[in-house]
Amino acid sequence: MPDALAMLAQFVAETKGPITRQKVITERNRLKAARKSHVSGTTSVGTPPATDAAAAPIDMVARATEATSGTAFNTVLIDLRNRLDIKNLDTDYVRGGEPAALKIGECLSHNALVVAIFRLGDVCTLAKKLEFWRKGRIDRLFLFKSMGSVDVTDEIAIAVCGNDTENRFSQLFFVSQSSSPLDVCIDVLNDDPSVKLQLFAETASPGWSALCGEDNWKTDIMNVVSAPPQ
Amino acid sequence: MSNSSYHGKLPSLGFASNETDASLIGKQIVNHRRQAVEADITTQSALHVGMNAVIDQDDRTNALLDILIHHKLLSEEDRPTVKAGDSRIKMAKAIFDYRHVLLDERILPYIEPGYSVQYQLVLLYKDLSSTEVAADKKEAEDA
Repeated sequence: MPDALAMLAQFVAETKGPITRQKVITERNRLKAARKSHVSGTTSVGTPPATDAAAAPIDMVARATEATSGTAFNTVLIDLRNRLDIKNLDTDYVRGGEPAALKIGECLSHNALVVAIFRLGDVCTLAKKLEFWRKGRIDRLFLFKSMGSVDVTDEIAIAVCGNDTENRFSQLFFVSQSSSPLDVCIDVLNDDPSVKLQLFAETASPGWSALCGEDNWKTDIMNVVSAPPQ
Repeated sequence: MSNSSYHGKLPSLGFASNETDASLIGKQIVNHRRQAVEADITTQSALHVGMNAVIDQDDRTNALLDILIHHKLLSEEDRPTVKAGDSRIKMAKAIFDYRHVLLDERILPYIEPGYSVQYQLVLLYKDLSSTEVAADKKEAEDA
């Protein structure tokens, strides 16, 4: 077996593009997962390069996705209107001790569309946690309805974060006020054939996998992602 | 008009502004990054060694922290954790301990400046080392 330095050199040489912190973390996660699989006798430990953040999901996440469709999630809808959820989310978690709702970001596809419903006053908390869902910034922001007062902190907004220049929200200039923000998002995204996931859901919508209620705060996400109801 | 103390004097680029030799330009750019990474590793090593030297003397520790906080190498929140060897100091120690890895010719020319990515590379190296040990142990058991 080559020595550790040779393996590190191989990782550095074969990684495409600049060696970023995220690529190294992804490689460490891949190695950890491979080691666990090796112990259970399924695969061997090697060092293929991490080419981007989407490479090599960690084992826990892989099992979570197996529970649903076996592929990475392409669309994620995050409902952060519950004040307790946003309060809990605004915590600096120790690496590895993050709750399921954040850990599951490891199994989003590289160009996943992330849509969040939240109160405007919580935008900083949302922005701080976007990296867990593989997003660097909010691309589009919609107010759910006209602002009722000067104080906008409680206004409900919909944030859209997507790596693609075009997504289902790109042509949307306003949202209907007739239904709830959640219904609006579900309507916009429902006929999307991609693998969809709801976080902080009360119940899973048809066609969506979901982390519901307290399951979002468990530290082990195995078996907590529900398969989409038919 | 801004009143900057910067007067437009860059350190030498290593090539003239009308230089068109792509090979020379590329070589100099790569060399500047290499120096930046080396300087980063030296900075983290100095942080670890320097902090270690004064850690038993509160007044000197505080004086050093004042300078580092003023220059934004550390934040005020780091102050209570310094003696516990936590956070940035822990990262600096790891980079110092494994500088031979980061400075290896197979690694150094290809990595980015920044203590954060360097710390993660050290952790990856340690992960790979433990994998190597585990594999050797298994080979020995199998034999």
